[in-house]
Amino acid sequence: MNCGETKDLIQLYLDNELDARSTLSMQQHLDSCSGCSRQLNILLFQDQALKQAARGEIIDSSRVRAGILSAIAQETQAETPHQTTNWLPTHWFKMAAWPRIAAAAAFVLIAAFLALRGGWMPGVNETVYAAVAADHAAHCSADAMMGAVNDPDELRQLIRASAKVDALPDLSAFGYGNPQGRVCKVGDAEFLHLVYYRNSQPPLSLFLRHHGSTLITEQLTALHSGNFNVVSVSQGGVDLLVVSSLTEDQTSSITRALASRLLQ
Amino acid sequence: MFDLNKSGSSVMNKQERLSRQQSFEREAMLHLDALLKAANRIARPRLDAEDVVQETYLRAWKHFDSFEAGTNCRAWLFRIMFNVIKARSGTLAKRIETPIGEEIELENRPSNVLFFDPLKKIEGQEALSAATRLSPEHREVLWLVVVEEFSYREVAEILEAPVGTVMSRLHRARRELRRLLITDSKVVSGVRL
Ligand SMILES: [Zn+2]
Ligand SMILES: [Zn+2]
Repeated sequence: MNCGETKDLIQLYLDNELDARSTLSMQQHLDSCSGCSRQLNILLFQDQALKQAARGEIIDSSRVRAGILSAIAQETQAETPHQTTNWLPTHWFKMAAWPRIAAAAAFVLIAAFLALRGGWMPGVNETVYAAVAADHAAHCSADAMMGAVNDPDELRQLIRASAKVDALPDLSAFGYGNPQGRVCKVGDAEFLHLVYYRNSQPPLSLFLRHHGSTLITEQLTALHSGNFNVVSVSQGGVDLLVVSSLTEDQTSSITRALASRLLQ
Repeated sequence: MFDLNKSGSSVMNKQERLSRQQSFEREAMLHLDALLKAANRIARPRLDAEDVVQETYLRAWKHFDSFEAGTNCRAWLFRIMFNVIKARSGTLAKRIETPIGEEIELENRPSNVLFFDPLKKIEGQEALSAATRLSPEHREVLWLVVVEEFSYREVAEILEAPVGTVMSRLHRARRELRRLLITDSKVVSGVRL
């Protein structure tokens, strides 16, 4: 092994990721080359300092431990282990199988449609329309949103941080509430995915994304396929897409209402 | 090992629930301090570390049935924790990584920049505080490899990133840490050539 090869492999050697043969020839080179062994020592000292300080640090985990154990104990006492999702109508769980099938169909249809039409919005390309429909179906159940943010204050923070929008979209006028949010990878882009629920209705998704472009596509773009309508608008540097099982008109009026309130 | 889709069982008698609880406490609670320390350094200041850890454990508990006994419970927990962190922080802002070619070649710095003995003893607290100032993606990978001693493959699974990405981030993280340590030492000692 020469110095060049050593330079390439030194990190793997340091992290014990080399196989036995390479490790041996690395050791042989290090024994005979002061330059490379100095390089190794620099990395080694730095790692050791960090590791020892981190491991030696004393933290007080008693509060969080107590919190976890009491939450678990409560659940163990209770008859049903999964209380967190009880507010969702049981009806929805029976429907939980359809969105995946629908998503596959939606993806194919929308992708084909868009291949003909091309993209409209500055921040959104054609694959995004297909991808948000698929992602909506994959994530709209409460179980799939497990771990998502549902505290209103945290949601507001998340929306501000990720989409640069200063309010939590309110859909109570349309009967939807209990929003949950997470960052979802949609095609090549990351969107803030908010899911809103309404008793005995399939959930509705909002996808928000900040982009640098100043172009404005104020008119709505609607796409229909099988079970979903996707309506999008791009305004104020933000792409907004609404995915729902409502009619195109209903989905459009929700989108319009949100755009006028949120995206100035 | 990492199947989070399998949901916790719904029908269980009390005895089963108790023994599930006991094995959870035995296997998973063992790693609480490690997770909390990592969350303290990685999730903050944007997120509350205790909240992140608590949610991690409640999710782990819910999916404990999908955890295979005998596999690496610590890695499983870390993976859940990074899912929680990811879900909670807006990671939409495009992450910028320095292309390798643009890195500063430390060894080829002009000699009048500053003096730093690369082999001088690095104080642990300096290293820890410098590591905390790295970008989130650098400090998470450095923490997982150096402090937690996970293998590249485990880190790739925890972060849901390709092994190659883990390696290049780690490389940059170590360089960046070194750069910070040098800069700090300049501030502390004020020694220049
Ligand atoms: Zn050499
Ligand atoms: Zn999603």
